[in-house]
Amino acid sequence: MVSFHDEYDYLIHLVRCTIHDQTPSELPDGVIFDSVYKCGVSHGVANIAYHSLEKLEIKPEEELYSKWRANKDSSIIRDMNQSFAREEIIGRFRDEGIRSIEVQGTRLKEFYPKPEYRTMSDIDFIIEPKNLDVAERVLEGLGYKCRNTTGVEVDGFRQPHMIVEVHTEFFPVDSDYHSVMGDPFESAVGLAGEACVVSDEVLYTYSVLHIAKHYFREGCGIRRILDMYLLNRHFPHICERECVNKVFCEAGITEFVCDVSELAECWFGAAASVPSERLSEMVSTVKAAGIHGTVEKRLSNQFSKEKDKGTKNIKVRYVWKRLFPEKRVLLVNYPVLERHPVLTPFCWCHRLFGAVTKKRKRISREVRTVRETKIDK
Amino acid sequence: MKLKYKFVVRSIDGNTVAAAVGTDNARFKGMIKLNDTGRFIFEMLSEDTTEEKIVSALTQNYDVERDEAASAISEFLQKLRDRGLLTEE
Repeated sequence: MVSFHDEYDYLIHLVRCTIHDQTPSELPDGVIFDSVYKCGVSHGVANIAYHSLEKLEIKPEEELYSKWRANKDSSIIRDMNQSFAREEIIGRFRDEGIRSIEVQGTRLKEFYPKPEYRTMSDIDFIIEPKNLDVAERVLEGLGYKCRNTTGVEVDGFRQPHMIVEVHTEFFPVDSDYHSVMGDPFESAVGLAGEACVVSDEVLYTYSVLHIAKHYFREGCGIRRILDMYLLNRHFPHICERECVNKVFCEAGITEFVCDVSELAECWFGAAASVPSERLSEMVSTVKAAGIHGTVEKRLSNQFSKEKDKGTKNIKVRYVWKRLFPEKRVLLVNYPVLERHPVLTPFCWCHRLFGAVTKKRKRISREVRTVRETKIDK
Repeated sequence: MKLKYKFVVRSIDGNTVAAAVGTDNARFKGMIKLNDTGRFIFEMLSEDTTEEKIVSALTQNYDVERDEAASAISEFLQKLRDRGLLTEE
């Protein structure tokens, strides 16, 4: 029997009951529905938890219950839209002879009891580098506004909130995990009328590396631990395979994979249990993170990495880079720089002025975080 | 007449729902819950049709009297018109 210490524990319980179609326990003393809902939203699992609420005898007050229902409905609408956009893009890619691989959320949805449970902020594809320009034109033809600033990825945005990312590799060159994953198309098999699919080993390895990437960069929330549970449930013996272990070992995440799998099983396994004391740091990191992690965690990890590399004046360098970002970063909002790099100083000033007038709160939070972050080796 | 926006219809937890997709989702952000006959009519409205054609198709596919079908369809179409979801071209 698991006891609920806080809103996070109860939220995890509700999510687990939905996944296993079990009847949840009633709201425990000391926990309020409002906090459970807020945690659910910040971790991207409120929509899953909603289905368990329906089985409770005592439900949240009508105002909150409606808000929760609207959150669930909006995840359905978003899923229907993303599914439509995905099919539209795959169809157009196929017409243009572009081989594509679906990764991240679109594949992880398959392991959820219902696809709409797994919310996504964007749709990710991998294509061959030679097709990047054609892919950009395809997206533009479908009404997306595109940006291709790095030469290895195209991001597309279409109103009201559709974001598509077209990559050419599993991980970018500057990622720690770039070298451990091979050519995405090496194991990819084309299916008639569909995107290519990679082997189970590659899908599992990539998905776990992706979870690790977020965990070690800015922290990752409850939803990614649920992804891990469902990946392990779907591929029960794959993590024991030599080729998979070899990649995790090369990436230096063997211990992480064991820990996150254990945590995932404790939280979401059919028989829930309390995570061991050994996992307490991971539990705190995950609970604090939310879907997109935290600035605090991201900076702390970034600074530690720099320290490992022997970089001096880490914080000063960071602030300098934030004030005067390199061209690659500026190009996102100032595409004019591509043709007129001489305008760079003007863009820096314009960006700074905009930030000071419009994002003062965010900036002061970041400055405070930089000041307070301790640099650990 | 036909639906003004591109809709996708899906069955979820035993219910049928419709949502506007693509750029049309910016114009209609809600979700419409449909019953079985509502879905039938909705799918007919994805292409240009007439009220008369819908009544005939419904009476052919469902065990319903023509007058009853005509009245229900008229009410349903009016609801769609009120929400600005129909275009009468």
